[in-house]
Amino acid sequence: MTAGRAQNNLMPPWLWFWIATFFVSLPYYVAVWRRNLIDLVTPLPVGADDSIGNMFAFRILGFVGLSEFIPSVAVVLGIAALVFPMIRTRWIQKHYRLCPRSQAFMPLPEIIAFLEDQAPGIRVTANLTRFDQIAFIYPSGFRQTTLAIFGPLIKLWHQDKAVAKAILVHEIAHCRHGDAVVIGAGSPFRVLVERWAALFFSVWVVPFTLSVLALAGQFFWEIYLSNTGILAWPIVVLYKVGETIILGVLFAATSLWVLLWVIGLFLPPMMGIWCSELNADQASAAYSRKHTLRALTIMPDKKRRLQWLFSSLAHPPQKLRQWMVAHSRNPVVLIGMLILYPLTLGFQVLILRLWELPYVGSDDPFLQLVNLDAIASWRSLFYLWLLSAVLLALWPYLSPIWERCFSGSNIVAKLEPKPYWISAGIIAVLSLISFTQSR
Amino acid sequence: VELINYWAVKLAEATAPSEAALAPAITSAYLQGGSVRADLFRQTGIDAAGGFGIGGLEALLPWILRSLIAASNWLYTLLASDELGNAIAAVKDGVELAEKVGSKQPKEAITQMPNNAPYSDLKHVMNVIGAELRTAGIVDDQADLITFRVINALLEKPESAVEFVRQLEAAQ
Repeated sequence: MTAGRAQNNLMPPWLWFWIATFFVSLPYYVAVWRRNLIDLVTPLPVGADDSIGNMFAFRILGFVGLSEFIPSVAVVLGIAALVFPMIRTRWIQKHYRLCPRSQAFMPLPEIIAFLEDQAPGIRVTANLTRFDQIAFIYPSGFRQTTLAIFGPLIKLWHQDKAVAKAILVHEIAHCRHGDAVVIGAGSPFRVLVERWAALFFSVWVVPFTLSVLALAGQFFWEIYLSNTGILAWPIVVLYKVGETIILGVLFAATSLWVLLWVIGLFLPPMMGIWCSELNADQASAAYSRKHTLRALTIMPDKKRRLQWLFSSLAHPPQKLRQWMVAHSRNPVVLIGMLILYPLTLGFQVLILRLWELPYVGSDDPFLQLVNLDAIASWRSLFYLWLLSAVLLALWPYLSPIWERCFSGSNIVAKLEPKPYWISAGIIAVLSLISFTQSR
Repeated sequence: VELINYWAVKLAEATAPSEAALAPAITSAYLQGGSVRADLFRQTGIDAAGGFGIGGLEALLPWILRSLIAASNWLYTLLASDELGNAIAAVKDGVELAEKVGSKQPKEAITQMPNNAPYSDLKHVMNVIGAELRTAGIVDDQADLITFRVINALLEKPESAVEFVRQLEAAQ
């Protein structure tokens, strides 16, 4: 096998960048939460129909704001949990029944020798009788990473050692890129996405249905009291059914709108995770491109829709990974990879501004509590793109320091600065454009 | 434990050699039962962030162990048969046929066997093991080949194989 020196830090740690810049947008999220909480307790407007059915419907619909509240709280909780990496460590070790290598690793001295050679001091745990995972990293302290190894890696070691080594190099690159500590930031949000059906049902479908039932109950009670003749009832029922269908359509449209907001919210951290994975793939590719490509073909690329969605939260699509590994020697592809995250920031602004369109000019006091400018404006983009450009321009010089910080090793690959400067130049021009637009 | 480990490694070597090193651990987890055993059969997990990806390397041995228990009644009769030599010859032919790439004949070889002992028991065993393997998502031809190899391995030491299946069944 021809093995090169792994480039563990080809891409800047965009996930760290996202966390560092997230705090600037915190006031926006606090405003969203405030609006959601006000929706829960706000009284009926003066002069509105205060019958029991109407009051009940109004109160229940206040819960709908939770579908905004819960995802954004999940993102903030994910970041807050990074301060306590041991919580994630314990949960992972318990959930995956991971044992220290002394107990579970006896038959595998070759793997240990390879890891000691490539990443001295790395901790290893294993569950060799679980086959739905291959290997992943998790934090065991702020600068300490543990590698979890599962049965499939051992199978692969026996089938094709070079491919198994390419996978281990991918994991080692995660360690040296400082991903272990921050990659769990998306976990609470991810758990939420996995349970989206239950969430959607409980904070959207149930409140909406109860509200419609309350209003219908009120309506029919009033009809009954007014002694309407029995012949008029079919017309009344038909009218009510029609009204419910219109409400249902409005409800579906609003649901999609909330979904758009959630996508806008989670886009940058998801791209940060994708960049970490692409970076680790590049480390494997530098070690052995052929075997990295072979490793990427082991996993089935046809997944069911939901499984595909969950996988996409943790990894870029397989075809994209394969393409990047195959073509990253091309400087244009490398530049494209480097500016992927800063471009995503622009895309996020576009989505959030689209989300705001129906509310433009609205005098709803609740909507006015939330000002999108803090996170989605030309001005916010100017600052984010400027910082991204600076990070890109300096990354060839910062990356050895960054890698030493997480690996403790002085042997690090040097980066050719030219693609970084070109990428920084592109983002600097975008930053300049956003500055002129913001004035 | 020695008997269990012997058969675990032997079956893994016959069907999935890359699982041979894991075979004692897999069988031990299977015998332990509960969620530890359930973990062996997980085929689609959650793609963990910070991992390489998931899928494509599921274990075969747990499915074989489960299929042996499912076919145990016919296995006991087959392995205790007076005419075991006929069964051994039929299975050896089957392995040869199934190992030919693209061969569709192993399926026919099973269905064309006579309906008297030991072939009737052999057919039952083949059908049950094959069906279990297909539920794991293994394609027909591959499942037939694995089934032939499993039975071929068991027929090498019938008495010991019976004891092995009995111990598996006792842990069920």
